[in-house]
Amino acid sequence: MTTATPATSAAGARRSTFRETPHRVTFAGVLRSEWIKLTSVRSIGWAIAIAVVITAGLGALATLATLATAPEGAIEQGMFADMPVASLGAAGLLVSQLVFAVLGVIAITGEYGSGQIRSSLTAVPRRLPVLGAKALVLGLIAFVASGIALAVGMASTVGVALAFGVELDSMRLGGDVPLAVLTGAAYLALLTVFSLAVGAIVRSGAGGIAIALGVLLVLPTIVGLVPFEWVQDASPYLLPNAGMTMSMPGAEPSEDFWRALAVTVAWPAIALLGAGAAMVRRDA
Amino acid sequence: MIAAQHLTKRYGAKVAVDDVGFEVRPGLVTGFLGPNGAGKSTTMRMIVGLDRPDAGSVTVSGVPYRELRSPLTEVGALLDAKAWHPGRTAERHLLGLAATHGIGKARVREVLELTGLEAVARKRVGGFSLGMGQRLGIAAALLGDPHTLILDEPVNGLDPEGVAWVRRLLRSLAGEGRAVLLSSHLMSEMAQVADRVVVLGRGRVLADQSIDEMLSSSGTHLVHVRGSGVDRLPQLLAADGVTVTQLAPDAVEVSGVPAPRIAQVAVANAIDLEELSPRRATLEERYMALTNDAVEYRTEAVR
Repeated sequence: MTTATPATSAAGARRSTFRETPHRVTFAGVLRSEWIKLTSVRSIGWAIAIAVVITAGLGALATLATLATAPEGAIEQGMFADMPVASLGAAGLLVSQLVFAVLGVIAITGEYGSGQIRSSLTAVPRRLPVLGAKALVLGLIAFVASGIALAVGMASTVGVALAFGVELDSMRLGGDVPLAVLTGAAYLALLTVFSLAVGAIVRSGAGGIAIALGVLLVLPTIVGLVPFEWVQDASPYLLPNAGMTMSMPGAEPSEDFWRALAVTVAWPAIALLGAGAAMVRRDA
Repeated sequence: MIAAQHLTKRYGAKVAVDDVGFEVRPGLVTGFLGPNGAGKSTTMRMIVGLDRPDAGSVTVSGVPYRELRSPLTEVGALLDAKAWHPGRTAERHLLGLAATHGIGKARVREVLELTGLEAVARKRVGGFSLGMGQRLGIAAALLGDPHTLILDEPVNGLDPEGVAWVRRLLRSLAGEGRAVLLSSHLMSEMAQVADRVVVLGRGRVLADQSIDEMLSSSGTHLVHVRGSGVDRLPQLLAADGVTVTQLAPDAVEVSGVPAPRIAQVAVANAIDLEELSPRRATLEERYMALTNDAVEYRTEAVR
């Protein structure tokens, strides 16, 4: 049995043997850390890839199906002259929003489920920077990915229509199309951040996805079914309804548009506040 | 340096950690012992700010962990459970942690080498064995070259070579003046590496002393006596607090009487001694005696 005496005398030994560290936790560092974490897990990559493919491909596919099954001569007679090509191009968003919601949830619940969160919060014990940096990095990734996807989707929809002989002049393409790419991408990014915040609050992948999909699919349905006027009035304040209002081509910067934008920003903002409060208060 | 005062944590009606105070000093390996459920892991989680104490406080280098500007260079922690995403590679996991503090790639490579993980650095950690996971946890703890180390069961799952490596590593870290808090259920391992021990039982501190003090505490002087006629020792030594246990026809174990006194009695009564060896209690025995009443989950004796 060894009863080793300490190799150095205890008191005072520490500072003298260590140089002062140049390292500090900085927000830029936490941003870099979140970027490394998000880009090094395959499930995140897959979710983004699926969301991009759906966003970009679905509108073109629907247009292709419509035009390919059109009655003989209908296109030449101008029956599709008023086709809202750009809106069709953005239609993929209706489905891909569900994938972005899942992406947002798993980006944080994956950390809780695996135990990674203990490493993350031990490195950044103030915690809020972790949530803020993750929201920022994930939101940016979602914005860029969905912006590219929407642009590609609209372009390929126009391409399909052109290939079937629909006149470019009749497609009603104007300045609202690039705007719709931006606002559509903004909606999907904000929705992703909202889902991230939900995930941070419930800390379970299944629970987070259920709540996020409930907000996207169930709430609007319930509001649509209840005939009371005050319930109907709530409709534009639902996240997916506001998101669609601001995202569809042809949306003028009108009063409705600005309200929709404010509502779409408010959902993730409020959810993030709740997530931040929960994260700081709770044991990890 | 870790200092805990009146640290208390409740989970509902159950008090997991109850008014615990201790110090983990620089230059020493402090062993953290206690039965399952004694509150060791909860205490460690409170030290690194993962759990909030309900009462009391704990500081690292004089500062609550959550207020440290550079936590990873102050404290490196390996906690009991896995703390990484299985889909990430070992290298990316460490790079992600290092980035928060502006710690460079060179240091990540260093700790991967130090822990013998270079060959699997680009492999996803989900496929790691228990021992490789422990090495990754130790690599993460060492990442910031910290002044204080907290290691919860670091040798769990390591091969004998790995166990010896951790022992040397901990001694050298303490030798460099770092404070090391080490929990382990392997008493022989603990006895070899620790300078001090803090023993918890049912959330309370049962002992906080040096290994020497712990092993030489009263009531544990055992003397092994062998020779013809030792069966007469029970009557000859009879007194309060003395027990003599017959081990064999020519061997007894005496507790409560110092060895020189036994020698005198034997000589005076013409007992022919072949062996008279004082036996120090092992850490395991002292630990068992201390925690006997504080074991939360007890296995019934095998009948």
